[in-house]
Amino acid sequence: MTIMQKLIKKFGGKWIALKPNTESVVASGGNAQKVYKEAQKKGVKIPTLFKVPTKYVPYIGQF
Amino acid sequence: MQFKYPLSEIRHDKIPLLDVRITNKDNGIAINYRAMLDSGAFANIFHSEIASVLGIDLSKIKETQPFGGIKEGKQMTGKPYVIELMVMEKGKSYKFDSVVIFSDEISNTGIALLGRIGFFDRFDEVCFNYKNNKFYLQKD
Repeated sequence: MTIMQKLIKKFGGKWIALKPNTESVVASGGNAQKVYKEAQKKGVKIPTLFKVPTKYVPYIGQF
Repeated sequence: MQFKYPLSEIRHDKIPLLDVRITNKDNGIAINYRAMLDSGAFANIFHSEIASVLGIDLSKIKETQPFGGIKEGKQMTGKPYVIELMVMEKGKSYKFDSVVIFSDEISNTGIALLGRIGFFDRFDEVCFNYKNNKFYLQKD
């Protein structure tokens, strides 16, 4: 299973905050701002936010 | 100056995901945001919630930008805003002002997009090397 597939399985549909340049998730939830602030409280000054897709659908230019 | 990144593997495919730094120059708030390079997208399309994190009040923006996908009759909208984008890799960085369309109509299976206007046009070359699992951005 790839990193993306693991993220989708565990966090699909949620916002996650990662330590920059890593795949280490420090916070997750349904609200981007709360996730961002929670990550900062945990010491990550500028976290990486990512809205994890609910599932992998092969992309052909359509949202 | 060249920025080189690995493609992200998913199932039997590989996609060009990139962590970019976004800064709201009006208040200095900065975040990193993971998006996908898409030469088929005319512009950058970001989740509207990112605007909130950056302290941007989308309700104050009157202009609306429509955009669509390949499905007939499906048109979406978003609000354009100029932010600062920065790409980084191994101590190198390159930043530029860019128009982003913030939209709350990105589907739950979709990923934010870095498109032609506001991203691809800021580089001299954008190369996808699918076979060798990498992509790079060239800025002379």
